[in-house]
Amino acid sequence: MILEIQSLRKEFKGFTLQNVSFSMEEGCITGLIGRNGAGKTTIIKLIMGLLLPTAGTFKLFGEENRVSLRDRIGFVYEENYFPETSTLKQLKSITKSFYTEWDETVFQKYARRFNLPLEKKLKALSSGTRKKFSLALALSHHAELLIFDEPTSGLDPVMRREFLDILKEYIEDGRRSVLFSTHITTDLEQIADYIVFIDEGKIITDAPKDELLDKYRLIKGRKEDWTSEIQELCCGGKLHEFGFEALTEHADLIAKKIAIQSEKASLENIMFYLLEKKDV
Amino acid sequence: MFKVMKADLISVERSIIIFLAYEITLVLIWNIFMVKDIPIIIIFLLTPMIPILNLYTMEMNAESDKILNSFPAKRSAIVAARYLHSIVFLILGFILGYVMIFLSRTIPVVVKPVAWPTYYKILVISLPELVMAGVFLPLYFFTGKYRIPGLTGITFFVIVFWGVSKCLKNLPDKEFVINSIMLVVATILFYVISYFVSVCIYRRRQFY
Repeated sequence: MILEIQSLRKEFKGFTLQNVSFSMEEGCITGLIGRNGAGKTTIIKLIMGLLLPTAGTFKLFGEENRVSLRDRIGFVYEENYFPETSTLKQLKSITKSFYTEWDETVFQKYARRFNLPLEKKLKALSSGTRKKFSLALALSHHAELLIFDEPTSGLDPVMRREFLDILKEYIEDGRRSVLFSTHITTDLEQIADYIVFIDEGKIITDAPKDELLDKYRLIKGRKEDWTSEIQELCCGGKLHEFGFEALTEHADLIAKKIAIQSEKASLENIMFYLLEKKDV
Repeated sequence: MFKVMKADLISVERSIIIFLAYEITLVLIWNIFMVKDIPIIIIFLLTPMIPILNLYTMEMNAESDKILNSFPAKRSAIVAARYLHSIVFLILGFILGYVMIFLSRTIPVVVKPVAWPTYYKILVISLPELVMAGVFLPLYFFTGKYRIPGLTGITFFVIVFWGVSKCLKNLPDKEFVINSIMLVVATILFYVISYFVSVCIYRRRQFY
């Protein structure tokens, strides 16, 4: 296991991350999804040592967590925390000095691929270019675990696609893994192997992506068929002017009772309806 | 620790240039315009503060400590680097001061010759500066802000500056040596204790 989190708890005023447990295997991409304030960034900060857990433990690369293991982790945060007055070249020099496995050739390759203006100051760059720079840094020291907090926000669709391709290439050798928190669930549908869905500090579901996508179906039916019996068989649903739309694990059973249109649910639909059910 | 120091130095590269420019300008104003009332001590007093304060201002504004703490760097090493580079900048300030004095004495046509600073003056400046850093750093690591720790540090600087000058002024040679050694030892001890306090504080620090 590359990452094993056990009963991780973090208390804040007004928010508690409650006994979060999940693990990540080598060679897989794990997507951390959930709405704003669900606890995704808190989990990432706990792994990176920026926050101290109230309770619980986690292991990295099979060992008890310690600072030196961060040498094997590449990270990209949602916000830019690099000093804006420094040039990319300076920031690269700073980062480089901390990693024993820094590979200048790899960095230069990504700098060219992303068209990074290394002589320019960070403040002169767009948020997308800043993100690309952070990605280049994270990918340039042969990290075995990449931890990304909203890495694709601020990237244009072309770059987003390229980024996802890079991640697929990165884990090809089967030794590296990626933990990826995002709101853009379509990104995860393309590349994730495993989904951890979190809300209000609790894990709602934690399963392989394909299993999750196979488990739920999105069904559509007539308004008058939205009975309490059907509602009980659904994980959540919406009544529209012309009918209903709902998420269910029992599409076959419902189809025997009423006329429905059934289709594969997207991660976004699953997230939306499961949260709606939870809120009710 | 040296990695953190390197990172800090790269981050404040620009302000080190400002620091050098300040040093040169000060000496030029002092000498070319013959401003006799500005004592040489000011060079030692103010210049090392510029890059240091710039570093903490920048760190606070960018929250770059989140990045620093995400690197494989121990928190004790980060603290040690900050304590060490306060000393490095202090020494750098002195070295530059001495270079300027040397220049003023070797090129008397351009600048007015300046007297070498006495041991008394060196102590009067360096000890309060270390106390200031020793007060500022634990407060900075605790709060993550620099204004209140900075003001507290400066207040301590003034108090210690006044105390050290009173303590050492007009003493016979023997007593001067004994008092100055005691003050140096006390300052080093304070600085070391301050370091351990900072390490304890910083280990518990959380970056929300």
